[in-house]
Amino acid sequence: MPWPAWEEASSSFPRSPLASWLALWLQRNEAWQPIASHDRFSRWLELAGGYDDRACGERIEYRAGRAALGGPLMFGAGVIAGLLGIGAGALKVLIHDLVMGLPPKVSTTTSNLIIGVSALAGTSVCLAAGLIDPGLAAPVVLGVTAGAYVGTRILVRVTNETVRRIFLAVLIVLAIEMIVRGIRGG
Amino acid sequence: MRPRPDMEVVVGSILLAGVLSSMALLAAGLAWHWVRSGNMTLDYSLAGTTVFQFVLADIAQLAPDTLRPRVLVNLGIAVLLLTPYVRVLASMLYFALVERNLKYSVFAALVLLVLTYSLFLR
Repeated sequence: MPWPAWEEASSSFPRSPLASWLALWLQRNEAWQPIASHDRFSRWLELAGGYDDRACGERIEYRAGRAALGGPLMFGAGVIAGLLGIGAGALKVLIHDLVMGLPPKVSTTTSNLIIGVSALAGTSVCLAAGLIDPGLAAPVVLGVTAGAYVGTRILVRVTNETVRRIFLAVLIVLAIEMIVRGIRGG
Repeated sequence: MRPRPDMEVVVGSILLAGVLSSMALLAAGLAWHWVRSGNMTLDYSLAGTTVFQFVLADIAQLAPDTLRPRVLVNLGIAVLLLTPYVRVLASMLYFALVERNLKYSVFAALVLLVLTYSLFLR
């Protein structure tokens, strides 16, 4: 039964990123389930929506819960993103998935939409410190944007489960890269 | 159903216009630099300024005698930096004027306040 497993997994989120990775790994073959209860704060924030899923041809209605926990965790994600420059995206997707119970597609796209706004707040500090290298930024912008264009067109066609599996793979690569960087001290 | 454009359409168009014009400026700047110097590497650094000063300085250099590849690249970066700002401004106006949703207008205004503050950081 997906329900108890989900509850158990999501309560372990704050303990460690590894635990949350394991939680997502364990439910990799389970279909996404809508959250059972909508708490008052999340309802007040009107955290609900729906989208037409082109992969299964159905309209998916969803609600986001536990905003009172998700909000402060997002603050933490922002701090870590600003500190390490890894982009808050991966952490935000984790919080959307495990704490707030959003479908994987919605957590991915929501994080994409917000990332520009949260990145601007951090980038302005880097610009003020003269830390932005335009010679590096220009080709990176062109390449990343072209890739993102292709990625979003793939996203709408694949299933939520595929999105989650890709996310898991990327998360582990990111983690290894950060550990290596940490050991090398670069 | 509703004659007015959806929030998603408004925000989507702003993001698309911002990213496409930024890419055009960056590509034009890089191509021009490549034609002029024969290499693709732009080797210069940006002085530490606020985003606000950065944008104004680039616009001031748009005159024909000061226009260089790096001005185009700088403008591309500036447009990219300002795109999310305009996007938040647009959603605040949309919430306030079209949807008349006080709660979300206040949220958007708070985000806009933090972003405005960050534009003047140095």
